[in-house]
Amino acid sequence: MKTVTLTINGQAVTVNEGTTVFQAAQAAGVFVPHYCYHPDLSIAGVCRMCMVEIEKVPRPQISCNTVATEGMVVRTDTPKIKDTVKGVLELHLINHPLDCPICDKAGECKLQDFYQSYGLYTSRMEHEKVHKPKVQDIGTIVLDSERCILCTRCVRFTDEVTHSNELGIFNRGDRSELRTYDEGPLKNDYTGNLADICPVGALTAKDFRFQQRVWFLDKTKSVCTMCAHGCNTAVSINSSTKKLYRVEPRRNPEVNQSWICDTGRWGIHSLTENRVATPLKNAGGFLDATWNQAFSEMKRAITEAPEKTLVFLSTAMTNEEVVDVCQVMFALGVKNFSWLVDEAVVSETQPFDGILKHHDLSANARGTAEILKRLGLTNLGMKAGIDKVKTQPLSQVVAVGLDAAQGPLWVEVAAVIPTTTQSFVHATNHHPSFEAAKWVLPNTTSFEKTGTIVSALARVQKVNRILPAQGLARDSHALAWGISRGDDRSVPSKERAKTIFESSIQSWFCPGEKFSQFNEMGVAL
Amino acid sequence: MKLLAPERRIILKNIETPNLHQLSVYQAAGGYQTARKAVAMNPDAIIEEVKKSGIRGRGGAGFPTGSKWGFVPFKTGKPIYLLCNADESEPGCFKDRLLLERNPHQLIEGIIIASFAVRSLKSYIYIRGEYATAAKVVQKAIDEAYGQGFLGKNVMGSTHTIDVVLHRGAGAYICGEETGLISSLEGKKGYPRLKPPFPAVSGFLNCPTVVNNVETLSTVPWILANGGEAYATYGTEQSRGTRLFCVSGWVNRPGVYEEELGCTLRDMIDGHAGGMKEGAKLKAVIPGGSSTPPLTPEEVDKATLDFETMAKFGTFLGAGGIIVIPDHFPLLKLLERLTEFYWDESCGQCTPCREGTGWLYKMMKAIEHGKGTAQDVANLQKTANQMMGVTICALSDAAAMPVLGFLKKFPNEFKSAREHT
Amino acid sequence: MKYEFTPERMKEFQKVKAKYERPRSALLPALYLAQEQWKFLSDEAIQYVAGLLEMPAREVFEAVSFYTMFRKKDMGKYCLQVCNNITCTLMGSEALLDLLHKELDVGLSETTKDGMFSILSVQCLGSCGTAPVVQINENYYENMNCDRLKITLQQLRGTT
Repeated sequence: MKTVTLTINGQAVTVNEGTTVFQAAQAAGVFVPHYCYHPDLSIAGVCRMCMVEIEKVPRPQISCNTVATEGMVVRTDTPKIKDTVKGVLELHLINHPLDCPICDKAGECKLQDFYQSYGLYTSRMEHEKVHKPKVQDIGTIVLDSERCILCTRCVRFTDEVTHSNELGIFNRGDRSELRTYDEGPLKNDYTGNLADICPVGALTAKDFRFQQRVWFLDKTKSVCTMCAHGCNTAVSINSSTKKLYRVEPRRNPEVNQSWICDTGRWGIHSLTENRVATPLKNAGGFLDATWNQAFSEMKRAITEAPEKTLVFLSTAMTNEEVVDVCQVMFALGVKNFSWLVDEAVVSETQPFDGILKHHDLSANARGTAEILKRLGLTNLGMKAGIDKVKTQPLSQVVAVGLDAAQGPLWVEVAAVIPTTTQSFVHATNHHPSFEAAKWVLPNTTSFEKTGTIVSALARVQKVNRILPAQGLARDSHALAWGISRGDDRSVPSKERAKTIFESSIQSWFCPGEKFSQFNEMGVAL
Repeated sequence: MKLLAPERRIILKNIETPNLHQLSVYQAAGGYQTARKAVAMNPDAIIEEVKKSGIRGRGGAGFPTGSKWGFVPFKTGKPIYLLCNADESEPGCFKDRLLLERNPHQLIEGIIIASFAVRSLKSYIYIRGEYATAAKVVQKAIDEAYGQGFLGKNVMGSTHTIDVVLHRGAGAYICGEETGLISSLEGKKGYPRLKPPFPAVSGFLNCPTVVNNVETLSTVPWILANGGEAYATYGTEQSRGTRLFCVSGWVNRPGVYEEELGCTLRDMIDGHAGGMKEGAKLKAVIPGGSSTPPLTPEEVDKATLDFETMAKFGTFLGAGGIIVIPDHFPLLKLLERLTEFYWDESCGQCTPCREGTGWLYKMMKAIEHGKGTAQDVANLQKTANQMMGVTICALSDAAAMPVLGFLKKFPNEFKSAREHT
Repeated sequence: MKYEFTPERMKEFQKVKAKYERPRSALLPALYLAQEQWKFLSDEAIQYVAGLLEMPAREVFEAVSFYTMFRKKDMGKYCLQVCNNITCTLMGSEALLDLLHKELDVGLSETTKDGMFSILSVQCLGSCGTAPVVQINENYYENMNCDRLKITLQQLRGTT
């Protein structure tokens, strides 16, 4: 590809031909203020904030719609540009309500931010402001038209990404008003992104509104495990209480651009509510028990009849967990493994909604299948595994690493439990279908473990531990080692994950990657 | 009263002929002969002739028409569109309406010639929705032209196809902006578009597109019939030819007058328009339509109507709307009307225009009602300056320029507001 | 009420649509036809037009709110549209508006109880040379003054 070299504030920067001045400035590390520009939406050029001065061009130009050319001399730091940007910013603010103290966007509002850097003037507006409808319920989102600066990011999102076309700008001039055309709720599965891309407090997510001021939150990079797509995320917890408040998309042009679906975003509640807190033993009713009891019983049961044992491997486990579980079980003599996956969906040619949502809810089906192959183990398959239990050649079931995201699959597994002699279920959440199991053991969610997974896009990505394990939950590393030893001497899971990564996963899937500094964007398998 | 000198009539030559809107009458006066000549010519030679004429677009921006035609990339394989801008909405301008209602065939002939020159097979006449009468007349003329084989397949027996469709707007000043017009014609809100890409490269349906004003296209037959050089003998160095001036306001004979560029404004007002009504004293003249800054009486005495002189006085010829304001009328009431107009008509896309037009209007309303303050006057100036040169289209500038012009040239009008804190 | 063009209007719509490269270019003509049939553009009428043009309903709703000549509510039999712009103001249009308010006892954008008249204040109609102008439905009444306006109102009343 041909490149061009230009200078921005005196600094030379070389970019591919066709790159805009805005993007070139980003590449050079020069921040250009903006509201309407968004890397994953078309160029609107309406906020007029990204003005730059270009040598030999009489007037300031918007950098988002100006293509960089060879030898172009661009400045963002001249008095003229600062004055222009300040003037445009002031016009953004004259009709904006002064309700920051009660606005949930405070702290991450670009009007606030740019006012700090470019404004800091005394208001000249002495006339009645334009009033528009406030606090409108549009489904998952609350719309405040008065705060809206009409940057059209949300309109472009519903046009270009979800193609649902429900948001529009009605009327004209300063009567222009953002709303859904039928004043009804939003009609797409990606509504949470609207709150993310809104640079001001016009669109806020009901789920997060007034829950927490953003300056109390810490963000950690991770990957969504609610389906096979592997959208990159940033997860926020309160820095002192460690409570999980928000999952947001993390931009990855190869995977999810800047978006995640509402299931991935708000599914956190199904992962955190109704958790299995302690090991439970079924004695005609579930009773609290200890891990020590559980491990010793499991080890005995498996060791006594390894050939009768079937291990269901949840495809929500990390690669490292799968290796750990398989190796331990194999060492105990188990030869029957089945992945837990909706096999009909995995074989679909168009297994997703055309945007991000996969019909396959297994975050790591691809990694699981690949690891079984690498370890030389046969994957019976889920249906075949279930059939073998039903028809009795196998009578003992261990279901490892179940995660609420795969809830629908649990029912199928649980349906065969009554036909077993004994069964052990390791799951994040309670489910009525487990009532016939002999043991129900608390599993950690994806927010409570570290490891790599392989998405349906054949991308190796890293899930990061955000929260401590809830209650007595143990991940599948701990489970495997507990069974191996038959007692509750804990293993440091993160260390196990790192060791397995370095001994196998790294060379199989992602040579050159370091576990502790895994490429934030993931790597192609 | 000054003696009335005859107008220099080129486009309006036959305007008083009864029933000129009928094809037979237009033809009897020599109409369509130039188009017939054109379709046998080399299209580039037509463009050359128009370049030689020096004619600049009559819609307001004054871009040289020949150059505009010359920019069109002919060989992209995409269709080329010619759009006739008949969305005349600039307050003070009513010349295109006259041409549309009285001489539609001259326009159609101009469209045939221009289409042939720029290799366009299809053109649209975008006429403002309020011009219902004109729309009926033009549609009838188009039908007549099709009936005679002047439009459609094999135009005038040639191998060329030229289709013309009349498209009615629905009430939006911004559709007179060429990219707003294109958006509207594509079935959208009339939001102007970012440039680049320029319409000549990517306009209507992302195809090369030429947008020309009614008056410009109506002049084309004369230019081709008489030669670009003949046209260029009229007018001044930078402002060739004649153009239509719409004189309105406090004069005895308001109306549309065709005159050579470079004629004096005084001749226009005192001669053609019959001088001030009831002998009133002149207060100000808006020379080119609402967005052009006003002239003081002293400037009016010195002004000639051409691009270069207007620039010297800090204003523009615009679309030729000369509004004559008498001494007895409160000037700021008119400026308040103008700010209301731009507030009403701003499409709302770009922040500085959307917010700025509203603010200017609020301040002018306060000042006009005697409630304005010194702060308002200072804010008018500052806000108008903030709105200049920062938006997608020129509406923001158009709203700001008269405000700045009135402040600069008629500071005393703001005196009472200035003294009010 | 079922929202569908009358057969004649449908024929007219098809004829108009055929003039354009893409159906949605016929948005304004289609909305004019709809307004002609139903007097104003209800949500249902807008949805119907969107369906005809195979475009998102939202964009049709946007357009209706953008262009001033489309009406979202029923108006009087006669829409009295007084130009409020610069030359008409200079030539006395405010007096015309005052007269209308007094004669008809309704405010701007309102309709008389008998459904006969609506008063609208509109932008420049391109009739500055014959100012002030009042547009009544589609017709221009130029060089208007209060006396003529009174007579015009009487004439219009007489036609019911």
